[in-house]
Amino acid sequence: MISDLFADREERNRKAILRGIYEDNLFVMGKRKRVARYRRLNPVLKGGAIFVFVIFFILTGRFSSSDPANFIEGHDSLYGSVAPVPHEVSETPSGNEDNVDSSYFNYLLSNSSESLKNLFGFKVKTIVIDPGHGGDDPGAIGTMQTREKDITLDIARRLKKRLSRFKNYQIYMTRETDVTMPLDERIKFANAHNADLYISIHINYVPRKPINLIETYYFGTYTDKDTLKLAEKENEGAQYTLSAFDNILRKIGNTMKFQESRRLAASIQKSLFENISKENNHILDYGIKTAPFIVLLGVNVPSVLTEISCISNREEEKKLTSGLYREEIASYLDEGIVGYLNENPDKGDARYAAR
Amino acid sequence: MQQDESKTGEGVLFVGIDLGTSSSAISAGNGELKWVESYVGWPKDFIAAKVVGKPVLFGMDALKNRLSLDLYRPLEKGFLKEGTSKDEEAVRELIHHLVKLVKPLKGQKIHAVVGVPAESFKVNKLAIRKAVSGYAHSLMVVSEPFAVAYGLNLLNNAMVIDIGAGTVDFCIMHGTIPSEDDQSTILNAGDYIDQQLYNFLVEKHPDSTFNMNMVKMFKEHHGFVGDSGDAVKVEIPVKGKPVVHDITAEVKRACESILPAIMETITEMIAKFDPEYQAGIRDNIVLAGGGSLIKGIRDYIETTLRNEYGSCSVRAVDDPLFAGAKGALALAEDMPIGYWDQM
Repeated sequence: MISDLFADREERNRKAILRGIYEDNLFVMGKRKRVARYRRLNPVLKGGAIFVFVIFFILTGRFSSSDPANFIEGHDSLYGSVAPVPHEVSETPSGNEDNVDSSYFNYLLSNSSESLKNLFGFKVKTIVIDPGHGGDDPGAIGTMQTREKDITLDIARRLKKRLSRFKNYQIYMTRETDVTMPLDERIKFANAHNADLYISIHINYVPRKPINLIETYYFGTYTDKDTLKLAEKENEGAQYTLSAFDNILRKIGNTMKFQESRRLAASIQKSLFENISKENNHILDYGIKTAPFIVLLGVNVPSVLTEISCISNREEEKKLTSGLYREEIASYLDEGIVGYLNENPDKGDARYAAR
Repeated sequence: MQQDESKTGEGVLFVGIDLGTSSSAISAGNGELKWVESYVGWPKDFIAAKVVGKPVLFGMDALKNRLSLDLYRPLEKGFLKEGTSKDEEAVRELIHHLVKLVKPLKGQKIHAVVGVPAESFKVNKLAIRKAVSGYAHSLMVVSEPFAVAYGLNLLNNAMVIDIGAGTVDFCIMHGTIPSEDDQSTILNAGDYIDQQLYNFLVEKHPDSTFNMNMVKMFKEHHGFVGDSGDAVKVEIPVKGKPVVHDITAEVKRACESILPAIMETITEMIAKFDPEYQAGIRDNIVLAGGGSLIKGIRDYIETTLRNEYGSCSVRAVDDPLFAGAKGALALAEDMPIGYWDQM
């Protein structure tokens, strides 16, 4: 009798599993919404996550009104609240959880080995793709007169199409056509659409050197003179001085936005370089870098600016005129973004840090 | 009634496919069981085409003729690079080849369940579907360790660790289809061992000439962890002359290089699980994939866990080459027939 009960339960489990596979595959084909599944999570971890989550909101509420980083208008994204570094940050959190103070919170924010996004279980719902330049601003122009603005727009369109297969994400582009769009409008667009991720696509121009390189930037201060020059070029038309931004940046510590931007940048850089280098031995991996691009600072959420190619290299310019090549680049960006969305922060790949 | 008719094989052939980084296998309802190394190669030019005599080559055949071919290993690193047309084409050709190997009858419909590395399952299920759909009338994609678990009837309180070439995949079964949280992947797997062994050998024997293919064979024939007791001696040419090398220490070091990450992931995944069920899972750990054939690996994992947690039981599947394909076939055959209509 008891064995019958066990057999019956096993049969029910089996049927539930088969149905789960069927529904998963329907979801992949876009025929059905995903059904939430629950697992037997360790209750201590569950309780801990809720505790930390509550503390997070109490403390972000306390900090947000006086935070110099919040001067930029925008929606209250979960990623967006940036806490200042206290004058003295303790090396380790207080051992007494009943006595949580701002230094503990800042320890969490500044501990780069912990992904706060994952810790709090935040989900990405809206992705904004920003094709660099446009309209009156052609961006870099190759020797064959290929214009950066056209290539970035085409790749952004392809990327949007690819990402649109995930029905649970909203995908927007800052510009869908060849129009002039100042940087502040791009920032406003991303914030107004409640972006959770922001990816700005650009193409590099390195005069006097016949090289081809890939590099990806995320929010932060500049690390070298070349980066500063590039930031000045990409920031043309903005109303703020770089030094003003740099001062602000130096005051802002490691935050969730910083952590997540870095992870997103690493995932995109890894995908672009690993894939393109299979076909092209001469491509250089300039890694991920921080830079004071206004567009990255202004957007309230994890944001990166990726220089996917180098239009000053004649061979590369030729390739960029091929739709197949642009589709491949879009697929690598897609792979990088999906990789970030799926990644386990403990297994981040540090090899792609800037050289 | 409809289901019974189809299972007798009149109109439908159920197949389970294990699409792996290193090797791919197929198990069919008609009893056929085949495998091939996951290499696909096209002749580089018309001379190469004349030399190899075939428009496309697979597995060992492709590997042997690699100098004449554009060689692809489409699931290298455990996932398919979407949008790279050659890799997608390689998966298509591989599936076509596997399906042909099991000799379906003319006009017979193919209903396939395809197991893929967990990373690929997460990242590009749709791309795999696209690549396979040309050669199956209906298909479902599942993760490889899950297919193994299903085939072994490990539906509840069990952990499957699939040690492949590109990835080591972990899957906890708890009576329902595993969610993403129940699965984990690490990238240091068989290929990583090969690379490590290659580096160690280059360092120790700079004058000897060998390639990655030879190193892979050394690993497959002699790989071990812990104390094997036997010395590993292989012939490697030095300035053209075959010389016997003792590579025992290098093989051991390379094979053991993947263990810390595996142990860490096992303990981490079990610790996150409801404590009431943790002991049950520790007593039901199953190793699958080619890496489970490394001598001593089962003992090492079991002993390490036992020293730390007390009771635990680790076993290796009897047939790592076909465990995934057989599990996928079991899934295909158990699937209610109505589910196939929309696939």
